[in-house]
Amino acid sequence: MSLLIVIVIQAGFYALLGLGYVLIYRATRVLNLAHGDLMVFGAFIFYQALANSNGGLATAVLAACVGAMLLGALVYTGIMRPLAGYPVAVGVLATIALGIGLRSIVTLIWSGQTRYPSEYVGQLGRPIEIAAGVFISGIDAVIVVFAALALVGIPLLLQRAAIGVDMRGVAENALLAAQRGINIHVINALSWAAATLMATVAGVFFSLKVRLGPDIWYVGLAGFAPALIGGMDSLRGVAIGAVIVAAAEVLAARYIAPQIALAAPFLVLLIALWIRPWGIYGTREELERI
Amino acid sequence: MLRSTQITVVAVAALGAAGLCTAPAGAQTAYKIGISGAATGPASPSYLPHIEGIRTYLRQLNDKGGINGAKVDVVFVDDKAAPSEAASNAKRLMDDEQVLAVGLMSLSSTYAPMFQAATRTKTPVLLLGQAVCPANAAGSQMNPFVFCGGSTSDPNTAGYWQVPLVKALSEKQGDQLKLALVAADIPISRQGIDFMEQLAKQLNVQLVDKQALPMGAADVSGAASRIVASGATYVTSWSPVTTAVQMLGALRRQGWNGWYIHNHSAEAEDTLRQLKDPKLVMSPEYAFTVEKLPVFAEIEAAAKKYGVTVPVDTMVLGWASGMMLEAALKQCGPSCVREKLVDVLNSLDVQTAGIYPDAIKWSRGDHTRPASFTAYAWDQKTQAVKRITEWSRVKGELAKVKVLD
Amino acid sequence: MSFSFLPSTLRTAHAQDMWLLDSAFVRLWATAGLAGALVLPALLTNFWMGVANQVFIAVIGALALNLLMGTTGQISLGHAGFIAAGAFTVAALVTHLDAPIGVTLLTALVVGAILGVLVGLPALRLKGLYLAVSTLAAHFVIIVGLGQYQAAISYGAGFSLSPPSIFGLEIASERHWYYFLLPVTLGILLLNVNWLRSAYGRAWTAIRHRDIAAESLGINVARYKLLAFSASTSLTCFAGALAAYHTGFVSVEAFDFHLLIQYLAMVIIGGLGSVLGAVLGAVFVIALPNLISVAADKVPLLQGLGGKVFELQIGVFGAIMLLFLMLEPRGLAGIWARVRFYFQLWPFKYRAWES
Repeated sequence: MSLLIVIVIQAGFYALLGLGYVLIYRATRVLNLAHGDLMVFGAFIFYQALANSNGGLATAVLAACVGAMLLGALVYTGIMRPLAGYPVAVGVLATIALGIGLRSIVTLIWSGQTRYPSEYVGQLGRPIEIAAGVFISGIDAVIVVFAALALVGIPLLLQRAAIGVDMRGVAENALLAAQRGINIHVINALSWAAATLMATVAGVFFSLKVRLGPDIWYVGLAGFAPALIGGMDSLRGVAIGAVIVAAAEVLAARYIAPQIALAAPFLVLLIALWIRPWGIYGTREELERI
Repeated sequence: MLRSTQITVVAVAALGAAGLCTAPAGAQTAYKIGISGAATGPASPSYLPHIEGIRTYLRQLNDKGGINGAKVDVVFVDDKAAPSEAASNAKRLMDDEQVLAVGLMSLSSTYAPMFQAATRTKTPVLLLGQAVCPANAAGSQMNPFVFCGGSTSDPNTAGYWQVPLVKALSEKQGDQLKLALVAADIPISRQGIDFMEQLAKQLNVQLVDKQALPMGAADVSGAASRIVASGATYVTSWSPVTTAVQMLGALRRQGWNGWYIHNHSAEAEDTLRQLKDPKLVMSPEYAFTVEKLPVFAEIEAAAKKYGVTVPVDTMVLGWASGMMLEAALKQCGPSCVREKLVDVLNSLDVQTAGIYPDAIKWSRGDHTRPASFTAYAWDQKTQAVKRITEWSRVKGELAKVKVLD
Repeated sequence: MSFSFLPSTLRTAHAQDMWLLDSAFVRLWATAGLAGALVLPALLTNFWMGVANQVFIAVIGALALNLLMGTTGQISLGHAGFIAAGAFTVAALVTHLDAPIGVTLLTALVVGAILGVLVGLPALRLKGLYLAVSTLAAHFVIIVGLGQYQAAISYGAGFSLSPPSIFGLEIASERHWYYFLLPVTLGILLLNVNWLRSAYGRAWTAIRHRDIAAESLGINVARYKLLAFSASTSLTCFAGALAAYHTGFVSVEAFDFHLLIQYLAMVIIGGLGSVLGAVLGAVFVIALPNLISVAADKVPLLQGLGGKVFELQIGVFGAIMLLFLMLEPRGLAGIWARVRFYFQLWPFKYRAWES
């Protein structure tokens, strides 16, 4: 039972990361390998705001969200838009370059020191007993709830809201969408902003839960495994991908060795790519489009 | 014909001039020292502050006029805590830069290539900052060029302190002792908990789990759930601090309420202050800044003067390392060479203004640092870090631990 | 001075098409380059000799990656893993069997070829992004697997290698290494150039441009893709094996994501698809951090950076990679080509037969 809780929490975290990958992929057909670094950057904005406002959690979260969306839009207009039309590989390589650039900037600004922002938020880290001998900490509960909201809310937003419909249109066929008078660059910039926001949310959660330092980019990178297993262009695939990856990781750590757990997401991914490369809910044509 | 002769003359002259420029001058113009450390990479949080500490110490030393009238010229290189980088750093510092000595401030995985090069080039290597002393730093198996000046004694000495400490804390609390051992997945850390396992058996302590966590693991909830399931009441780790903090966090989130005893590292004091967990114990071999030694004010002033941003309590060990280096170079005199420096180090006796309670004393057959241990924890009443045991000198046998009230 | 440049339109015999050094300009540069390489050791300090040797090994690795990514258009993010595989082949053979360097290098080539087929198989089904991801996943799996092996055999401490001997000659100093690596690297360079001029090279290029079109031209796409993968991975493992001997030490941490980024930077900054680019990129990427750290010791402005200078090195890489991707996708090789044509044609601006 407590093992199940651990898996669900981890799956929630992976789902938040995976959603970011999918949002960007749907908009610009780029696998964003800088996602982990965007996550770290956003989390550090949060930390800085937290430190400056003497622990005002709401202010800090707001600052991080705004900062993250600006950063995402900036990355799109500054780097991804000029690279539109290049082979898909160029986009991936550009995000790798962006990632190491961001990592370097973070260390230059905030140094390599490890921080524990949990000290600012006090009771959130306390475990709550939900059944006899089964605990979940406040922050973990928040992660799970938030992931569930995002998994339901984002597809709903894309279905119903006008801007969501525009986003879907651009994802489906950018040329036709542009013909219809949709400003695809605004829409794409919004997608990048939204994805960076998701990354930042994940980063804030991770820094409140575990630690904050430039080295946690690796955590964010691992999120592409659930996105791919679910299907890069599928929002609902993320949930199941996240559960599979989380289960593989947690069970490997529990029953084999913690060292194996590091490779577990990627091992599962390799097997998944071999059996069903387009992902569980992904569209098959997606393979041919690139 | 004339032309080619002219060219030859010019070439020979140029080569001669170049030779003159690089020829060693008679008197010491500067003491050239190399520092190889984990400035970047996953282990850097535990090592970079020390590097900043020694850098600041040497800067103020040079500003005061240096040693014996000569400046200390330090070549800093990053090894990313990777053995291959350490190997190329060793080549660069010892062969090319021809440094007098190398200070190593990195993970134990970088030792093998560095020690190999030290033996080959007869260059002394000082383990500084929190670099762990290898198990064979004394006796017939020792490397004559490796000197332990870091804050972490060899895995056996550490075990002789840490296992009795756990037992003493448990006796004080009067609860049942079920111990789990946690290491980082690096050689010396695993060696450390292997020895603790032996000692635990010797002391009739019940061991319920033992595991090694990879450096830079994203989430250790799975590993933590294994410890919770094993029913451990005490967990002890001997590893870089990130491993401990991550494991403790994961355990706490799963409702585990036992004691966590960690050795220490650059961020140990800062970590106690940030986490405010009353059942987290750090057991260092040096004084935390809560001891209010005069030297800490000195460090703070220097940090302010040179604009160093890392917290003062994390720079302490780098500072002590600088003091060791200064004493050795001073004794080595104005025309210091490697051979002479090794001789000096073999009889060095230096105090570090109380940062280490004992003097650092090396002899030809023993390059370990005399070590006294203590333990600190967060005190909820006073909302401050507090020492919880008396200092205890540890050498080759189980320590006597006296827990304070 | 006779100017004997023969553009393809003016070539009158098949033999002229076969010339590797087809113009006075190229011949001049090749001779000057070789002569420079031979006298270089007289000018360099021991440290810079070591850097030169790292460059040689990096050139081999970059050529291998370029073959796959530049020529065949198959993006691979598993390069660091393959280098690790080569290094560990050496470590394992030396530790368990005390094998000589000839045996270990050959085995590394074979191991690489087999690994290439294994990783290349998914490439028959996967393209672009999905291939990139599967190779990246392979990287992580290889690294964790090797880490487990290292932990089991050496308590995680890594493997020390003593300097290798060839025909009784011990290759110990950087100078020895230089004269050993120079011909080896040149050989592999020639091999690469000739591959690209052969039917293989044309098939690989065709696959890069459009694999379906290539197939309809009668090229067995599956076979040539696998060939490209195993040729590339084989050379990569070879580079890894050489690096293991040169460093004298093998440990899994050396083959992390950062190494992969370095190799990607080499082929991107050099110019994807160009042999010359791979060479220039390797020189650039290996030399740059060393130059920055030397500058940090000497330039007062940078001295204040302290430990942060190492972070700066990494950041500078990212920035330069991005700039090349966005502004000069043909890389250093593209810049070089422009410079070359400028001087060749001077005082004219362009050649009439080049549309």
